[in-house]
Amino acid sequence: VRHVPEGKLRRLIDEPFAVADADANHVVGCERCRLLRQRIAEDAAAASALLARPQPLPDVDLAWRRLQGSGARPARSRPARETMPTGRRWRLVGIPLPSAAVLVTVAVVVAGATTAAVLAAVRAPARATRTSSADIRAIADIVGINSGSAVLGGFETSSGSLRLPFGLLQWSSAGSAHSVGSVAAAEQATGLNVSLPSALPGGVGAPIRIVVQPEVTATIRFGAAVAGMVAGTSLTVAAGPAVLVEYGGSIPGLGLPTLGTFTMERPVASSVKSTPAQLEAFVLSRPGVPAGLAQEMRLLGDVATVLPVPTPPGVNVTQVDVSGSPAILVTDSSLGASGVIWEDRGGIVHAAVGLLDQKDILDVANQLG
Amino acid sequence: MEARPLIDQESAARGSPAAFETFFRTHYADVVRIAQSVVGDSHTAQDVAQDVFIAAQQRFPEPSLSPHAAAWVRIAAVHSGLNSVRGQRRRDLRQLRTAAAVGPASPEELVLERVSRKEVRDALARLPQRAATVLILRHNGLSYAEVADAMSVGIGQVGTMLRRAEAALRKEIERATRS
Repeated sequence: VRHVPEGKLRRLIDEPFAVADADANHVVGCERCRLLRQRIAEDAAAASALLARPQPLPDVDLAWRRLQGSGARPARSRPARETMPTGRRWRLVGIPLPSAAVLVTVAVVVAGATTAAVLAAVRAPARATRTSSADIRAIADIVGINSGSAVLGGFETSSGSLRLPFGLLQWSSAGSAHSVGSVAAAEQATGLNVSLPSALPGGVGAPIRIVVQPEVTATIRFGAAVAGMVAGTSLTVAAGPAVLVEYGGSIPGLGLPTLGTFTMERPVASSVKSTPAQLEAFVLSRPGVPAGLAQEMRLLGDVATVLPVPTPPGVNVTQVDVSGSPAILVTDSSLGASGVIWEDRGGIVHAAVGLLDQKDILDVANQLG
Repeated sequence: MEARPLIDQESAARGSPAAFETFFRTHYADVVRIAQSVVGDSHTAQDVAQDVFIAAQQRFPEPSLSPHAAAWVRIAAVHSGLNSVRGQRRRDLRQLRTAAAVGPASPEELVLERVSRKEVRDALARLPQRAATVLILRHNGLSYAEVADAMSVGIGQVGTMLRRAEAALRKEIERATRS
């Protein structure tokens, strides 16, 4: 008896009509081939399950602009790139803003178990502005410096200064981030109206920590040695106060945060003797700024109406709506984590991040919005 | 009604940006999906896709005139993705240890799920390149004819290659699970 080869048995599973009737009929009547086909089908099903991935919905328009911005042209004479770098790095996506007040904004969403959202902004009007301490770190990172003394999420001290290659950074705040005992205490300390979700998703327990970050003001004074139009100018950034509420799990005692909600007034900043466009150009021209990051910031287009949100590698990014405001939904399906960030019409920036799927995190967000 | 060609053949013949843009827009999502099957995350997948299309732009300035351009970008996505995974295996191992250190807690199953996906990626990277390629292409929905065209093999070979690759993947996963 001539049995059906394994390759045909495999195709019989996927494309049965492409296999000759004689072979298909043989399998029906041959126990050996039938059992082998079953084993092959099991391996195929296992491979299918192992290789299953969420279907990405890439932004083709942005990707096309990015490709155009790479400088690649359909010319045979241009040498091909020698390598295909695939480094993991953060990426910018944009949220259309309800107002056109923010001219240059840099935002960092720190995704993790505790999760915080960090924002910094440069605003056109030359008046007092706001940002958080960590925003300054974000700016410091972007301009290609490493302060060494600051940690992501805030400075180690409530005030201080740091000599930068191009000037001096000074910061001050009313105090360091600290826990408070209640939402009412957080509201009293910050003046913010802190909303909490009334209905929590399954697996999320009660709040375990409420953290208040007092308002922080920082000023970068660009030294005279800096070339270009920003020499001798200063950038004052201020943000906060902000409130982070962390929720525990449904199993008491584990202490692992499952959800964090973040509330902060839109961080803004003012500049003296220079325009936001000049500052943006300066920041993006600094050594150490990844080319991709600079390119993405430029591709975002009109920064007057878009809030750029860097997102970590390994996540899917979707534009959604939270209570009528544009928002960015970030999901990491492999970790089961997701987060959403948006600015409401009152100029308050919100974020909700947790070990939840996107439906649950949006349910939470819509209760806050 | 007269059928309209998807691509302006005149501009395609000149290697115009419009011709390549049409090609890009037609195939970009598929390439990202294939790359994500290999690398496991959408950002790296999109980086891979960018590099693939940059290379394709050099190789196929008139993609509509090349019957192999669509297959080429898919194969390139698999190969580039595999290279990325192999190059980052050490980093992934470090992340895996970190992930294991996070639990146990109520989301531990999610962490375990993440670990298993890393094991799958590593297992894929350990397979012979052609085995990994046929797996990725077929399990991303390409027909046997399309896989054969992309890999420049006879259609009769695809079932055999796929069968062997699936068996090899199972063995790799079993070995990783035991160790």
